Amino acid sequence: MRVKRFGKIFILAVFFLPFFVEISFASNNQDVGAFNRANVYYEQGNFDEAIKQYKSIVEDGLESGNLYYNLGNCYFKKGKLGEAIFYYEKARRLIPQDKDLESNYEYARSLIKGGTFSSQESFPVRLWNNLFEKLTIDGLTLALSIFFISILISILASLFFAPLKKQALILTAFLGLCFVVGLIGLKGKISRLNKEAIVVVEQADAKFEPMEKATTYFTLYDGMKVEVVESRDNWHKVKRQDNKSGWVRYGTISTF
Amino acid sequence: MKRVLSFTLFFALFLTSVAHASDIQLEATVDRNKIALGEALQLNLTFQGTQNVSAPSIDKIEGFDARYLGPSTMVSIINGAVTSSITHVYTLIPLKTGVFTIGPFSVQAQGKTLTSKPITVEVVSAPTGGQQSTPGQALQEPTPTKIDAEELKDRIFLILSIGTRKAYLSEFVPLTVKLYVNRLGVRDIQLPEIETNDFSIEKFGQPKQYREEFGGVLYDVIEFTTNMFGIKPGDFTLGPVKLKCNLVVRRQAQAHRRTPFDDDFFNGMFNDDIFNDFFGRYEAYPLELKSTEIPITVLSLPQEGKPEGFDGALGNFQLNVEATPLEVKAGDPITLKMTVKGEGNFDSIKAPRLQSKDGFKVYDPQVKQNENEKIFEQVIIPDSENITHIPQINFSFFNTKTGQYEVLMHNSIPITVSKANEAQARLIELPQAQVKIEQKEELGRDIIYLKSSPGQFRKIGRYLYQSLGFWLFQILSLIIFLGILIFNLRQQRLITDQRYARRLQAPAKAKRGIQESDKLLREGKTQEFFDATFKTIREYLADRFHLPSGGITAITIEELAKEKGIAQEVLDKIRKIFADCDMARYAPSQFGQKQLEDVFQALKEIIDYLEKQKI
Repeated sequence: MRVKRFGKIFILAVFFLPFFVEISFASNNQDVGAFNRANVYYEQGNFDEAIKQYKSIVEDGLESGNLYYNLGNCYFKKGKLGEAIFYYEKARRLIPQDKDLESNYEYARSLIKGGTFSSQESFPVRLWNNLFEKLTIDGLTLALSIFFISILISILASLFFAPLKKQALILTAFLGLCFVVGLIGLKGKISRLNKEAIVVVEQADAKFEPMEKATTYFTLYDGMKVEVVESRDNWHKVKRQDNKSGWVRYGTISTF
Repeated sequence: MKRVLSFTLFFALFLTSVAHASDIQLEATVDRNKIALGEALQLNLTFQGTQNVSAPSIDKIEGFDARYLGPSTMVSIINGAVTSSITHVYTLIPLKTGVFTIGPFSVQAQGKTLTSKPITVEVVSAPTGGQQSTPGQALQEPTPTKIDAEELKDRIFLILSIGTRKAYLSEFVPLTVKLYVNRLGVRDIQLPEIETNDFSIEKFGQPKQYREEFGGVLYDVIEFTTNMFGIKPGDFTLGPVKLKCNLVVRRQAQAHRRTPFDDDFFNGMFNDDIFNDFFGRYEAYPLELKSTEIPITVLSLPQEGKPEGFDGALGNFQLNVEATPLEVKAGDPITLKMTVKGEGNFDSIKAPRLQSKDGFKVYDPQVKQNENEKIFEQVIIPDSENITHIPQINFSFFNTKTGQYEVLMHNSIPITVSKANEAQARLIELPQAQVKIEQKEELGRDIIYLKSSPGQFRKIGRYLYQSLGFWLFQILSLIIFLGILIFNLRQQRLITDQRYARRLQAPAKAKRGIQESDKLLREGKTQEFFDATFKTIREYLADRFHLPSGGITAITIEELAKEKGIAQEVLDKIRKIFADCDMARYAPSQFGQKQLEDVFQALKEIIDYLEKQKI
């Protein structure tokens, strides 16, 4: 009788599985063709056409780490550093462990006119950020799901296997801690979505107030990364990595 | 200890044997040639090459009274050569004025008769040299005065000499300056200076110091040597050479000698040369010495017979050439070692010339100059495997001895050159590679190329955490977990809680009992029907209220009904079933089908009621 019940659970699980994979396989041949065509244009040095082809895939509502990487390369070759870094950043959200991407990203950043600002955040905060830097949102979500199920299993194990009760409870506590840490990390990642931005014009003045006549506080250069704190009318309030905030006009930055 | 002793013995024997083997010479010297009456003259008889000669007894020397002072021995080891000598010292006191000849002395030593040279000494009535002064002057406080070199010309003088009076342009001529000093204290001797615009004179080297007899007087000699060469042709005069030094002169020396009863006790007591050297007061007087001039003719090199490739080398030389290795691949270096040996002006020597440089890449030679030889090491690299020999090497010089040009030729050297591979050929371009310090490689930098595959496409902005399926899965997991958890808890309770277990089992058991009763009712087995019904109701009530089934009677039911608040109607039904079952045991036939069905119905209603009630 018990076996029968587990069998039902298994059937249910199989029934729900397609909901997961639905996201992963949303591509079609037309988009793959556009991607390959774009690569050929790139090889021919026709970067504008390559960008057009790549963007046609984005317009179809699809994205991939490699797609953004190639777009970044196209803009880099065109000499548009800001856009290149913007697409590299987008790619980093999807394929953060890609070595080629990391190399190109670092190189592009090294060419930023005003240099890069070292983070003003304290060591624990930086450690915390680095901990989740190499994980995608989906990866972290999946990890949390695994932690969650593991916690449930370890609780049951402590009930069914009385001799292992102590170990199982320690494991549960550990997994619970990992789960909480991961959850905070995931929340941080999600909260940054569409809150980060790259300067895509050669020079952008960050002003004290969201108006044309306001005094310029500092200047941002092509490719610099900022955090979008607030948006109103035609202005974004952005925060530089050294924690200086100012207002920049729409169109000077691209959020991601 | 033994070893030290034997070493000492060996050394002594060695010295003796050396002494015997050497030639023995006798030398007679005086400390000055001119002496005043009342002064003493020192005569030294020196036997070179032995110490084994006793003091010769000197016959009466005319005009002098001789007195033997004692021997003085000397052993010197110079560059391993051991020389020993003994000097017998005599004091000669002049008895009258005039010119006297001392010696020659003949001495028998080790079976040989040794004879010294005669010495001429002049005895004057008044004291001579720089010590001339009057008592009045001497009593005055002495003032430092420049000492006239003329007065001292016999005691200190310079002699300039050169190797030849006729030299070719750029020919090296040795130049010697000797400073002679006789019984004078001299210090702060500077290097000789020669003013000339006609000659190039090298710097003087470290001077040599020795003793030399000159005109019967023993002098301390300081010899400076160098080389010079003429820089233009013509007749010139070299010199005079000048030398600056300080003369150390004893102060008030004459005053003391003239006044033996001086208050100065010490000066009176030790009025002897030796003690004066230690206790007398001295002053330094600057002195500039000049030598005589020397005429010299500088000849220009003859034009006739001047060979092609003459680079101005002067002297007399030999040429030696070595080449290594003799078997190479094209592009490999060969080192030519060309050594020029001989005498002459080595500064004028330039590298010997290859007659032809065709087929070779030739680098500048590295030059090393030693004493009497100059070595040129030249790297040559054969361009191709067709090269079979190193060309003839010529070296021309002007022989200053013969006054002729000479050409030294070294025949061509056969070599074997094999074909080079590409890597070696490249070495030709980098012969300095060995000495080049490797620089840090500059790497180019650019972005890494495109990704060839698009990777996994996904919908923009769609994340896993936003998917319904994901959340359903999590909820399902939680439900399953809770199900298992509850199931487990119930199982645990069933084991540990009997009341709960009986209560839980009661309806199922009752259901089975009802089915059984129903079956018996249909079969018309009245007795069995009542047995089954009674058993079902009694067991149900016992399980339901956790009582022993045997203890269920009509009375206990009534008590229970009061306690649990069971409805009167149900209680009546229970009571009636119990009563009917009791009666049926004795008179089962009086129950008709209708009554049986009523009993069965009542059973079902009771159990239904009790199941629904939370009692």
